[in-house]
Amino acid sequence: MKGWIIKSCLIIGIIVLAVFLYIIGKEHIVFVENNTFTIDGKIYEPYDLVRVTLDGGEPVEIKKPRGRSLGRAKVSTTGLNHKVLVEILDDDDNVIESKEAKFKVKNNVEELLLNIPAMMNDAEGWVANNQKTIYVENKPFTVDGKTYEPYEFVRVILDRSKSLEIRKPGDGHTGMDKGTVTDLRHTLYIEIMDENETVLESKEVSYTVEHAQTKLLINIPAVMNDLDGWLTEYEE
Amino acid sequence: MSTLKSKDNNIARFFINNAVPILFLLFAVLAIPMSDLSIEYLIAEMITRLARYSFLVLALLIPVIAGMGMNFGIVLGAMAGQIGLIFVMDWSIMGVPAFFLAIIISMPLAVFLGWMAGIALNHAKGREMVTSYILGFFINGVYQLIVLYSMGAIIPIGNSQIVLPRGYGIRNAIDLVNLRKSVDRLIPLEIGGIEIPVMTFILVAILCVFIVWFRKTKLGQDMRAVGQNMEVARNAGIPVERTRILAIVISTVLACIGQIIFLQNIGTMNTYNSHEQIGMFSIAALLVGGASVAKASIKNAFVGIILFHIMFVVAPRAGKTLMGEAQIGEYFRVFVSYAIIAIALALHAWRKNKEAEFARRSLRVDTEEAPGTSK
Repeated sequence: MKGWIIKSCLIIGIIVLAVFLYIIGKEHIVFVENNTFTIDGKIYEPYDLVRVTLDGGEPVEIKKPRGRSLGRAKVSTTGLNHKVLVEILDDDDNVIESKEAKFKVKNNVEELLLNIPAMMNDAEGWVANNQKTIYVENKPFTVDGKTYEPYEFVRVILDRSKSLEIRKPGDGHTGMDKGTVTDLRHTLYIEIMDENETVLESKEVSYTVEHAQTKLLINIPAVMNDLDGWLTEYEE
Repeated sequence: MSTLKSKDNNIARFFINNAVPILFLLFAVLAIPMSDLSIEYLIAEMITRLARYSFLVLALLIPVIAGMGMNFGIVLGAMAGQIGLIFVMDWSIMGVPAFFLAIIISMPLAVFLGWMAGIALNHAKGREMVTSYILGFFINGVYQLIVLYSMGAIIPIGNSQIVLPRGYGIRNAIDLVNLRKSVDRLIPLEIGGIEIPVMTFILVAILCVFIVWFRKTKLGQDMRAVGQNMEVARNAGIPVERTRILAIVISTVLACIGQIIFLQNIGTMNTYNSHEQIGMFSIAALLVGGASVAKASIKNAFVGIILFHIMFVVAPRAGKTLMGEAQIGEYFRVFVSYAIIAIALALHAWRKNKEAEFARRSLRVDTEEAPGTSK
């Protein structure tokens, strides 16, 4: 009996250790961006040059986006609690202003977007999940009393990489699917197909997501008919 | 007269017992100047290779104590270790936590495979080496089936960097970028421009202490008794089959950890090949160190790794100097590793015959010198 108790405790201890190692070792990619941040009509402009140190690691310098420069850097980190030090630099690399902030990450979040102008101004959503779940529905869309019917079969390609095939609701089909994308700027390619998978019509649209938005809903009939409100925030 | 004879016998016995390391030492002495490699480079290489292979080679010692010869089945442990690494890479775990998490994940699998191998080897007493060798091929097939078809399809693996573009199966090569040298560089130390993997050596030292301690435990003594004579051990009340299974389980688990140490040092995992040569190279290294299928020590492991890998490093360059082609040296080092095993096994049989002859001769001398013996 005593032996079994010891063995059980040992197994539980190993499982707890494994969970602990999983949490402290899980990689989170942080995209630190020195870009314009808009929230509630307020615009926070990027700085000319910033130096960012995440968790006391190797500092990275980020310039204002100009030309092909995106004004961002990718930093890898582990664990749940993080500390970021931002230093605003002048042309001679002297520190004009600095600020330190702490933030927490959920273990299932793989990518984060950290906006420097927002952080320096304590704006809400300065650190957000960079992974956006896009729900795509092939369902009726009603606007101004007119209803646009769903298509028999559509293929949707998110950001030219993730393919979703959605049939009309009914016969066991929900008329909905979802995919995960990262970042703020996205593309959506839609192919309307017949039963033999012959493409009848296709369309590509681009759209931008706000920092704080993590779940969005796209309606296919609305996209195909250029209707306002084809992209909305998804509600469970 | 008899003292001179016994001195001659001792010298002959020393050469017989150490024929393979002496052969390799001679080879190293000849090949190093031909290779034009600097001593600093060779030292750095040997330190890296000692850290990389020690755990795997030491994993072979316990089955030798139990009289089961060289455990070619360490590839089973290596495969378990690789499965653990696939999972930690899929979950994007980084650094030292990834190393220990891979060990925790793969250990139950290593225990299971070791237990299974132990049962199989109990059914093949006296032919353990060839059985474990073939068992390695069998489990390799199962491993490939799981990794190539189940992972991503049945076993959830979602990381696009390790899953094949078709959506299931693991890519041929996995970049262990999150894990590379994480243990080696945990305690940074550089002497004369040579990086010393302190933490890995600490782990190896812990294993050495464990082996020394283990030999003194009851289980260790039981293994030795089983290794010397199974029937006598059984009559003494030792559970022979269970002891042999435990020897293989311990060896497989150590090989699993060893493979994770090896791959974190290399930094890349060849999903379908990394484990294949591990058994062969580790056994070859141990045999080069002067071990036999019946007797192996920690000293043999370290001497073997150094000598075997000196050959590995200098052979291509020496081949280039001698033949004008590095490829010759590459071929050379591959066939030499197989040749060592063949030579060592043949030498073991020859040595056994010689020892029996020595024993017979000394018995004859004793009988001749004994007073009152009629001629």
